[in-house]
Amino acid sequence: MAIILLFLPLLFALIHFLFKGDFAKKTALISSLIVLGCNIVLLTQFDSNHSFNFIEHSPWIHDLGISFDLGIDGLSMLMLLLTNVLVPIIIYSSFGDERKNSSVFYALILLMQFGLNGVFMALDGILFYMFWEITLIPIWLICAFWGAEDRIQITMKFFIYTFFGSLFMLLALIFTYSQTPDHSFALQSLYNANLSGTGLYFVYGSLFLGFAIKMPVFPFHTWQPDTYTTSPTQGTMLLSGIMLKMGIYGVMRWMLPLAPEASPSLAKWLMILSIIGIVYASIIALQKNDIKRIFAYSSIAHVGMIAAGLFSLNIDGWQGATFQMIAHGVNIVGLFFIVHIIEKRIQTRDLTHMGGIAKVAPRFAIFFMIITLGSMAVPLTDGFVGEFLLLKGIYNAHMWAGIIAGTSIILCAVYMLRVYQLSMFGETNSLTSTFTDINMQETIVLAIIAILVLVLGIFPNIIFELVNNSVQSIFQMTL
Amino acid sequence: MIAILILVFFGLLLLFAGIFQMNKILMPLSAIALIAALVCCFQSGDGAAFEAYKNMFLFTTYARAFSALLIFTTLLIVILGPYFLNEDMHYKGDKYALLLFSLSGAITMVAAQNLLMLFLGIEILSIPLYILAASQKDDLHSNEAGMKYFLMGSFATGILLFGMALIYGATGTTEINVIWATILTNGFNQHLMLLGVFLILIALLFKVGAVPFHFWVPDVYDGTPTLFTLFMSTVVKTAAFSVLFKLFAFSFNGMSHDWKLIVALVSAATMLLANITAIYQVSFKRMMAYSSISHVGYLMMALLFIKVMPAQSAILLYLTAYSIASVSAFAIFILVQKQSNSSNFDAFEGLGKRNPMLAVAMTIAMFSLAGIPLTAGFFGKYYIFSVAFTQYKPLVIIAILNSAISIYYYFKVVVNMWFRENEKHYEVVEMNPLYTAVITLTSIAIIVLGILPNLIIEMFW
Repeated sequence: MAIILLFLPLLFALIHFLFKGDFAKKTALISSLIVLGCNIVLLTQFDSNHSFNFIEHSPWIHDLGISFDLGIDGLSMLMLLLTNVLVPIIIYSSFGDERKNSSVFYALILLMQFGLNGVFMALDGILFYMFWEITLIPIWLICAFWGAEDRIQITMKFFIYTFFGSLFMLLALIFTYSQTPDHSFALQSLYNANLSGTGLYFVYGSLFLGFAIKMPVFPFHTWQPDTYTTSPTQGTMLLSGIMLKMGIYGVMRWMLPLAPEASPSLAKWLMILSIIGIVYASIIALQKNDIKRIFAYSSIAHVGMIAAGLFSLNIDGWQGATFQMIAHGVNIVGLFFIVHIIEKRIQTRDLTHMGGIAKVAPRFAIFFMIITLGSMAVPLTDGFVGEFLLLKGIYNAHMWAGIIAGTSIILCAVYMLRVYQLSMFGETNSLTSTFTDINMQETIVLAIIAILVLVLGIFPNIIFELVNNSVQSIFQMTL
Repeated sequence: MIAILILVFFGLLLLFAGIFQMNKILMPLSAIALIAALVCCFQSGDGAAFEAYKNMFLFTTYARAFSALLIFTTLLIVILGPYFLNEDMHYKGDKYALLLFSLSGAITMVAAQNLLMLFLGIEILSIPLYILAASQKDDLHSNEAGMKYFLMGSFATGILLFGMALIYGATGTTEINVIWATILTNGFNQHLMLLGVFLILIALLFKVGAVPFHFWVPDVYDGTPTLFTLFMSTVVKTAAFSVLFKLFAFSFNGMSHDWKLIVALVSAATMLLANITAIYQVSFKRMMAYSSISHVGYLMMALLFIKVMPAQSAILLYLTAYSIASVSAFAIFILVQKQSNSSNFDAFEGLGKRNPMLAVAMTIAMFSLAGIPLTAGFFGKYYIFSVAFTQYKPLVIIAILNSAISIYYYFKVVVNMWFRENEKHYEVVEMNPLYTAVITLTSIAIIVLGILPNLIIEMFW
């Protein structure tokens, strides 16, 4: 079953590579909906009491202890759902644009979906690494092909930066492998490896480097704002909505349980680093006028919070991080779609040129408000549950850390409301007076996201029921 | 053994065919010779080593695997021949003959069990190459390349011979096995031996083009006609490296504490210097020259192994991946170069629009050289890293840094093909069926080996 879910997007991607046509949009949407359907079928058969469901095991490269191991536990299932729900939304959000070689564009998105599904299912170190890198190529191509100015330099930096990080991750995996008793890259064997001394810290640090660059955690974030800003909207959505969650997932599944003995001495420093990132990114977000860039920095702040929650090493932080991954994925996709709508209509992302959009586009203003509130972690929206638990976790780890991290909620409200106020309220100007309200397709996308924001905020238990067992059991291993 | 005889015999035939202007049969004839030799490699013996000429040759599995790789690469290169050699109509037979002679030298090197035979092999390999490098007589660069290659090569040969003489003086034998045994018993003159080993190391580093003996590589590669550059950067490198590995992994392994640190330093310097210099190149051919130097740097890490077996597999896989990707890249480059008359990166501008399939194949080749997963190059690097990692962690970290740097220049080609407009208005590149076949084959091989790397290892071990 898991195999079908894994390879279905690859099959669809190949079909889109081979055939060119005007209906690539529609076929891509149908393909991604079929994948989503497949995922939901898996969900109905999923038993969250077992640790891993749908286990696939077949030998691959026997001499090296590499095997083709797949399995889905609650956490994986949640990430798969996030991926497979967001991809159709992302594809549908592009229906209003015309672009060259659109079938290749959608093929790359589907290829990306293949890699992402693989990352969240892989239970073998090398397999995980392979899928991890597979996701990098399509997103690089999407950004470098359809991006804005300077895209070549910026995407090159992005590629080299992340590739460098993941090579360290590979080294850490090789090292852990060399210490396993049964010479195998299987997740369980890697957990059982006898790491000690400098090797332990090497593994911990290298894995952190790989995952931190992907998320990105301060000070490894320098590729992120430029890349997010120059990428086409769908690329930014994929990067921020799903791809950065690979890093968080990696920390939870591969880093902390692999070298738990290093956590007591290192985790607090990593938490401090993450918290510095939160404050730093929030302050920069306050001063920018380009809304895409503001949301890019807000993403650094939110991810920093998630990372801090993970490194706080207590169960509240972990549950908050799990929830916030989903919430942030939904919110940020919505926010970047809003940027897309504004930019498409007035050809600028500069806040100082906006104003009064709410008067001419009331429906748009409502959806924008809901998503803004979600991002600001207002109660009854999805952001609240996650941030609350995260702060509780961080506070439990260290009081001052919790207090400083807590300021980010205020800062977040300030910059989000600033964006909202400057763009939506005030007098209309020559640019915004002709702003047309959102059309049917845009309404559907925003409505789905708004519904997700509210449903997840009001009924957070649907997520906790799915992941609680697996998060608990992974968390036990990190102690 | 039979493989060498076949190659030499057909080489002579080709010379005659050249004299009688039978230009049409040159390529098929050499291809037949190569296929026959390839079959011999797979047939001779069943796992057991085959000995010839009183222990002068020893066809072990190792020798057979590398011979097969050498012959296969040459076969691909020969298939690229007719279209490439179209312009200079003279002496075409000679070029095929020289390629085969050179290959027979390479196989001699790989199979040699005696330092004298090894020396002969290196000479047989090199002399035809000096001629091939200078074969474009009306081109000054080609003449320069031939001259440089000849001077540098003979110099290195002299050093090699001196080293061998010293080792003979120290151990009283030129047989590789006996040297290995003598080193273990300590019954030899330490100083002579050490000097001999280092002289041999220097000579072989010259041949593979490792830093600090790399200065000739870019000029020679750049000036030599592209097809023969390809031969140099694949076949010659493979043969020289397999000899380097054979000598240092087997014969001189007993005194590894004396040379391992130097090899590690050379490896680090080679990677760093070559990769950083490669970034600044504007000529694709020179970039490939530096890239080939950097690959030597990665390969040298395999000399720092703990267990021989994984190290052997590692270099076989790495060299296979490297050779196939180089053949693919150079084949495409030859086509592009003929169209645009430029060997710079900008010749690739807009290739994605002009010839999408060619651009896809080039992308695959570049990904493989850069070591991106799902290509053969990734597993090549993976094997090497995991072999060296347990002992020399800092070196592997340097290698990783370099892998990240190398992305920049390999991707420059990809970026030029896909993301830059065709500002110089190059036409669509003219395709040739033989080239299409080779490029398709190599691209598929890169992907297949990228998913199932152990195919190549299981084929021999």
